Order: sequence, then C-alpha cells, then structure tokens
Amino acid sequence: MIETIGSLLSEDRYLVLTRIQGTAWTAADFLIVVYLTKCANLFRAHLGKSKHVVPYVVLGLTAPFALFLPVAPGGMAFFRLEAVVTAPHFLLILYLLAANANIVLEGLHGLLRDSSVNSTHAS
Amino acid sequence: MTRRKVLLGALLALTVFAAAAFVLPQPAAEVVEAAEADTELERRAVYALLRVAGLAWVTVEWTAALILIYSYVLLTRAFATRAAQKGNAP
Repeated sequence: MIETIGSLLSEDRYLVLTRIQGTAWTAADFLIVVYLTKCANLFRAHLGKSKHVVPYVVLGLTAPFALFLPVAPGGMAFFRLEAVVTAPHFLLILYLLAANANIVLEGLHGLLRDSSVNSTHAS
Repeated sequence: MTRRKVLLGALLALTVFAAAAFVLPQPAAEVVEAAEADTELERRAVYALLRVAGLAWVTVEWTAALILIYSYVLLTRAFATRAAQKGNAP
C-alpha cells in the first residue's frame, strides 16, 4: 500500500498540492488576524482605549510575500516564504490574545450586565 | 503584562524564528537527501500523509476564520444594540 501511495505522488504533484494548501491556510491566517484585530478594536473602542494599528501594518508587509506562495519555485523557497509570512501572523495572534484578554473580559462583562439589566426592566 | 513587554517579546521571538528558519533547513535537507536514494517510495508516501495532514490543517484554519468573522458580526450588533438602548434610556 505504501508503495502504491508513493508511486502515485511525484515531486511535481507534491509541490503543486503544497502550494495550493499553503495558499489556502495563509489566506485563512490573514482573515484570522484581520478579524481578531477588529474584534479587539471593538472592545477597545467601547472601553475608550486606543485601537490596534500595528497588526494591519504587519499584514501589509507580509502580503507581498504571500502573493509568491502559489508560484514558489521549490520546496525550500516555499518553506522560507511560509516562514516569513506565517511566523509574524502567529506572533500577532499571540500578542493580540495576550494584550486584550482583560479588555475582552471586561467588555463582555459589561455587555452581559447591561443585557441582564435591560431584560429585568423589560419584565 | 504591559503592551510594550508583550510587543518586545514578540519581536524577539520573531527574530529568533526568522534566523532559525534560514539556518536550520539546510542541515536537515542534507540529512533527508542522504536517505533519499534508498527510500524513495516510502518518502513519497510520508509526503502524501503530510498533505493529508495539510488538508486537515486548512479545514481547522478556515473554520477558525469563519467563527471569528461570525463573532465579529455578533459583537458589532451587540454593541450597536447597547448603544441604541443607552440612547433611548430616559
């Protein structure tokens, strides 16, 4: 079975599949960082704190490298492009989670408190 | 933890990762090349399994992205409703 699977997958096919999957998960990474930043900024604006701008700057800087992923010439080039694009994104996600955990909890607490007060008044 | 410390820690981690990404693959690639001749088909089978794992990872990432997008829509509505209710409050 291993020999059958191995005989079906040539190096070229493997590289094509890697490019497709890498592009797909990198696109998801971009969306995750954008919407995580937007969610954090919603809570920050609600609590009167300054909004995050750095994540958008980092996304703008990594976007040109991500455009080359579908046409990466080989495995090593693809790996290096992925490292340049994905590492800042994951670090941004960790930063956003660490920097906004308390703010999000405070904002959610306020939202839930207000919704329970409003439902009490309505009843 | 202050925002500045978190940012500095993230920049340090990024620098170390970037340096490792450009230094480490070369020795690892040499080891793989040395073993390649004898285990060509097995290596390709491992690569096929890696691509199956990649498919699972793509699914996980897009699921997370869609959940975040939906969360953003819900939060926007919740804050708008709250602002409207505060505006209507006597």
